[in-house]
Amino acid sequence: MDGIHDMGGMQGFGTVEHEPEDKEPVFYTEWEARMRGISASLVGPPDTTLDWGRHVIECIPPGDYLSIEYYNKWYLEAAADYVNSGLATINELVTGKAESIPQGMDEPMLPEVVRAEFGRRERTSMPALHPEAFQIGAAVHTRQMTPPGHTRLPRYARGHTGRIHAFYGWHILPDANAHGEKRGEPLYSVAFRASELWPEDGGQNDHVYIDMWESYLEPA
Amino acid sequence: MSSHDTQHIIEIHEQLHSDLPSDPALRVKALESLLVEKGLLNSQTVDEWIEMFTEEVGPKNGALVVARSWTDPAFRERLLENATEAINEMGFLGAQGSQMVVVENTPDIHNVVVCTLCSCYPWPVLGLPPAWYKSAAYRARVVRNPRGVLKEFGLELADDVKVRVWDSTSEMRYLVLPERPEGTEGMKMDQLASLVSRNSMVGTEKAGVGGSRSTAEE
Repeated sequence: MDGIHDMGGMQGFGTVEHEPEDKEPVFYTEWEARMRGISASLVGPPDTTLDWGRHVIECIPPGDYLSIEYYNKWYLEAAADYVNSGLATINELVTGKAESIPQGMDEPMLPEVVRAEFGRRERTSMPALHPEAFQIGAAVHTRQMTPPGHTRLPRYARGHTGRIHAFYGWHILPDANAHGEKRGEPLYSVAFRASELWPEDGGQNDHVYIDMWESYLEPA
Repeated sequence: MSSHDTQHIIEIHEQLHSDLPSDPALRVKALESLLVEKGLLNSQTVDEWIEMFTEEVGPKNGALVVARSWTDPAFRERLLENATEAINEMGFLGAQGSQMVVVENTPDIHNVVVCTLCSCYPWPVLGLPPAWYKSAAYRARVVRNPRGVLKEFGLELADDVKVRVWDSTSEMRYLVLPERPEGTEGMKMDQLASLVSRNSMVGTEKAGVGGSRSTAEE
């Protein structure tokens, strides 16, 4: 989806505002802290995934995406996903009062397991089904693809030539996983000359490295 | 099964936009009460996450990884070869940091990390991302004009230094191994770790400059 979230290289933004590291709070407001904790604790729709959750955020109306607070986007991810799955209605979200209690759901997460949950390893590795198509050092061309759903191939990197820098093994393909189909593909780190991506701006000594699944690539 | 349909979600967002109160504090309060009533959330668990994120999680784990790599050449080699296993040795893998890659700064190469598509960041070693890392300006600009952005952080790089920008588009998480500052030869691990700022591990500054952290605070 050619959405507002795909910000790499967009122009018109000003200085990167930043506070000294030791002055910056973890959360600026109480509601941001609550939302962060809610997202980490809630029982979600059974068939939701990390990739679908990201896509739900990508679908926030573009004007809102640019103007609302970061954790307000997390709120909208949870709210829209609950409405989509039928676990909540918009009216319930407005009133905060339940009109129905869902049946057959997991028990809520308990405080005792928070640290273990945070320390749990999440892997996206998948079994290799065939040898990977590209070797380290190979020149590759990124497809000029414009899928209607989720993808992790940024717009700024489409239709360009780069070189395979590393092979990371087979991993879940987000483009499919976001839409309910879990399958793996070879994942690479691909290096692009900055001057290839940004002919007017890119430094001659500079590169951008982007992780890319095999279906994003074709031989150069 | 719920649908995973893009157009349907866009329509839900439009309805939420028109029906919900705009104040996020009200939104979140109603969500919490609703989920508790529906049996999908425990409020004490929310408190516990907040306490952990506020009091316990932060860049100190990453700083220990860096300090160890400065003093233990065999560890440094393992870290650059297979960061996931090396960081696992120290017990620092977890949510949004289970598959790690460490990229090393040298006098000739400067690395900097971004997530242009969302806000991917290695929580177990660096804590939650700072506001600037999630900002539109950083996400849009650092891939196109890294030297200009780094200058805003007080880091001016010579023209012959090669800049490498890492866009975190997969579930691999990147940590920059900053250069060891000069004049630190006699220092022990914990002293060295106090010189390793969070920003130096994202790549927007060098270690031992500006944002050095007091270990007492942690």
